[in-house]
Amino acid sequence: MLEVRNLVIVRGSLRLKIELLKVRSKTVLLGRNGAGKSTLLKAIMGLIRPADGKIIVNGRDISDLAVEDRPLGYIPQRVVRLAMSPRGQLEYFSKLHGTDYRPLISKLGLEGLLRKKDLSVGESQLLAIATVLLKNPDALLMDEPCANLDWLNKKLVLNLVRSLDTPILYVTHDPLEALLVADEIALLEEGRLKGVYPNESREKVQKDFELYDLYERLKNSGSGIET
Amino acid sequence: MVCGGAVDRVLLLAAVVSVAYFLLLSLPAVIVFGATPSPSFFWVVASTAMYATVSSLIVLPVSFILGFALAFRPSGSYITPLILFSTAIPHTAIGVLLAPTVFSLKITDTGAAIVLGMFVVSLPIGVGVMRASFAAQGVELEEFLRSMGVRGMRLQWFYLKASPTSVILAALLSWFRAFSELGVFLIVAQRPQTVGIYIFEEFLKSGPTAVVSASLVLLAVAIILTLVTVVLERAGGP
Repeated sequence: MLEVRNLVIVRGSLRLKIELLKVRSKTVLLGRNGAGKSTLLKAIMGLIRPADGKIIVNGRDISDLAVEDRPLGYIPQRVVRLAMSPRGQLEYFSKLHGTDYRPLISKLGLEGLLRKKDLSVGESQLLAIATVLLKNPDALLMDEPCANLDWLNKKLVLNLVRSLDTPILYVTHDPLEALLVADEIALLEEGRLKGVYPNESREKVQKDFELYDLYERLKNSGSGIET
Repeated sequence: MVCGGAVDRVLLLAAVVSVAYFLLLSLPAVIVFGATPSPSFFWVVASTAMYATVSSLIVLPVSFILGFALAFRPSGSYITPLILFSTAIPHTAIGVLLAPTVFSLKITDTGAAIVLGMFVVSLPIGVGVMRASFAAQGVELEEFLRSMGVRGMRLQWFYLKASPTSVILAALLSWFRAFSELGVFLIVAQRPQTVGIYIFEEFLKSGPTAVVSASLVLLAVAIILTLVTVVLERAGGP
């Protein structure tokens, strides 16, 4: 479990204070542009130094650990593409973390990526998530991983995120995405958490999401679309 | 020049403009003064190229480290203009500022002074190119790699792998900046002769006719290097 306690971040005119945030499964951090969502994620990862507060992972205070030593995985907002083949990238990070990428890739159903040299943006994001998992992180921090992805790629990434067992703090400003991913939704507003709410509509929203999957429906429809 | 089965129009245009530019600058000089190639000039070109190569080999790794720091560290945006500032002042002034170092090291009029002068004037070019290239790749790459446990020079290795064309571009531009330096050498190293000093002295001694061919060689080298950078940018961009 990831816990954020009494965290204070000051960046220019932005002041964030998070008294308590517990991430047990999939927590979506929902907030408008400029609310400080990405800043909070970076502070948890150690990329930004907070003014005060603690980051605790599975009971261990990691606030003083360097970024490189924190047992967390981080997916930045902009899709990361390394100048390596997908297989080369997975082999490199497997070696760095003493893990084997093959069972993971097989479990995630991403074998197809290994045969490719050039990946689409969506595939690159899937590869980035698989790469992060090679670290065996105790929690994942995902900063709008579906930003700039088209519908089909978004679906792929969201399905992958849902299938993971690792606790995830997932940042988005999109309510629909929040409802699709979250077990809990934390609302960030005016520099504070307004509350953490259980997501009781995930299954219903998932059905609606499929209803709006025009690509599939057009392919399968003979004539016309019914809503 | 061929891109996807058709002639790359941008490269073709660059080549045509280059030839036109060369003719525009060279023809009046050749018609008015004539052009008599001097064998000694080619030795000067060769030795200047050698010093410029040594200087660029030192400039590249320093540019790489400084460019990385300036692209991603918060203080980078303040320090970058200071480093680039030396390109904006007369290079004779840089020569004057370097003089105490050169005199105290007793390397006046030596190859070491030439390499030092070339290093100082071409470093801002190398740093500028590398910084722009790193910045274009984004800080997210660094954040992701650090979160994955990648540290120190390995981080920069990933950036380097992602932008080989910018490394070549930095090398080419800093090499040519070093190669064509004059102002610094007027103050601290008039010997061994470099191309700038050669043209300056021959012009004073024998007038423009003696140096037209030398100037045309330099113009041709500059245009060829410019075309190479265009090709590199078309191939992948820095």
